[in-house]
Amino acid sequence: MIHLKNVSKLYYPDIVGLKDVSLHIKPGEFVSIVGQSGTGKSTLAKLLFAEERATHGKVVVGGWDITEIKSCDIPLLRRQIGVVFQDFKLLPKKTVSENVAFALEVSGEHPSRIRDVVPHVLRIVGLAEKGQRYPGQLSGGEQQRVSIARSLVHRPKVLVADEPTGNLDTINTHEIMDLFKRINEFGTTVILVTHNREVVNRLKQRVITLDGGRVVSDIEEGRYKL
Amino acid sequence: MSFLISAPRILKFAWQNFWRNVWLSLITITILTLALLNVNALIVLNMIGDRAIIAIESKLDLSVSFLPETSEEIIAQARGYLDGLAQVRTITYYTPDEVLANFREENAGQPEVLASLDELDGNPLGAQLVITASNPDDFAFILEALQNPQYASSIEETDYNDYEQMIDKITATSRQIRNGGLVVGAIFVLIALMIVFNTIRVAIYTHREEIGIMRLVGASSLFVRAPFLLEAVTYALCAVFISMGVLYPVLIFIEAPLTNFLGVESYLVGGFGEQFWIIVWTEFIVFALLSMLATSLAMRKYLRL
Repeated sequence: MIHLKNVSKLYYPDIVGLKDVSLHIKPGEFVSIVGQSGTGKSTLAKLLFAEERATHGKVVVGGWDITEIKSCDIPLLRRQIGVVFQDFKLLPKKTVSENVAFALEVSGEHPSRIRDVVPHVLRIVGLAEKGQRYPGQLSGGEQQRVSIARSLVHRPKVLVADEPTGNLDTINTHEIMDLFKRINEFGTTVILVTHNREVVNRLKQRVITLDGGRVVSDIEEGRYKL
Repeated sequence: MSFLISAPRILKFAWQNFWRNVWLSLITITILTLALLNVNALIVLNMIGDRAIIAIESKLDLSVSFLPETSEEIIAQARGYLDGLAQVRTITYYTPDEVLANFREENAGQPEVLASLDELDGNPLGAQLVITASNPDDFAFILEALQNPQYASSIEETDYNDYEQMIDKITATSRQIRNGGLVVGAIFVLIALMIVFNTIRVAIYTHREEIGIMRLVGASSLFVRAPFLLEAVTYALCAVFISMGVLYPVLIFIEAPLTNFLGVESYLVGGFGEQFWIIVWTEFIVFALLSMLATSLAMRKYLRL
């Protein structure tokens, strides 16, 4: 599903984001990428949805070499990769339904498909009854679930979550992680970028640890070890 | 992406851009309108200048005064010769008596001139031919033709120069006004472009969250950019119609006084009306393209896709 071969990312003038990273993630895997702040976790995530370009090496997602991806192809890639962030990135003046529908509208989807998909994904994340509420009327966990619902509208093969529980309390964190596990069970590859020890240890899934921009460990059913 | 599905959404976003910064939008339209009014004022001045020249040209003629002793036969030959020239439109013949009568009429308020005329024996004035040309430029040819030795010695004087100077003066004044207007117009257009640039920059800033989310969820570059371009086109469209709305009543107001002043039909409203849609479309296309250029520059600088 995802191949990185000798990938480096350098920031001007001499800051190392990633250095010589090679890894392979199979379809349907749930992978946690852990490490301390500034170790290149978010840079790795950004490379996957072409928010950043690798300085060296090769990045392949779903059989698609995105190392030299053309600007006009980036939207097509992003419709195959769902992305969730710590700060939710919701539009406060749109309702929950409108926020989710927004992702489909800007991608040129037909209104009838939008009418079908939005309630469906809201049911998946458990917000079917709160479609008409505004983000400001929801808890942090619910807002993150709206963000996850939005990331699912294109039925992505890969879901990249960059510190999705960073703003949430323990209960909401567990709910969100349970949701990611369910999405993974449907067959979606989930890449979780986090530095939350408890979350990683409860998952008992593959853990890739970064330090100084390098992969220092890659363990199936790993634990958070730093 | 189906155009029919995306077009209304792009329109909606453009409309939101317009309304969320409504005061900035109004200022942008005002500046564009001022620039367009300047352009339209130049067009009207050009029309007035043309009509003034037509008014003078309609009065333009060449008087050829013959010596009193010139025989009617020579004058008839000269008239026939001039009639044969393609450059001559009309020739009016005045006998010496008619010339004298006209002279007395023109100088009715100057008793000294008339008294000295009375002291002379007989009519001191010769016959006169008043010539109008097909084209004002043809007078030079006609004057040259009158140098024909067969008639030149019988001609006392030709009178043309005063009109020529007046036309030169009007042409020069029109040119000066036009050049000055072009400079002022260019400055207005430049300011308008800078205002459009700034408005789009603010619109991009206001919509930074939405733009960021659009990019994340796979909106195409065109879908993100199109509302801003459409917004710029809307500014141009509003400015064109407002400037026309201001200009037309002004034209109606000045048409009658101008007609009186020029002595010929000024034909401002009619002339402008005949070319109304050509002017509107040309101004709209030019200003829309310029606004889109300023928008593209702003997007290139501030919109990272």
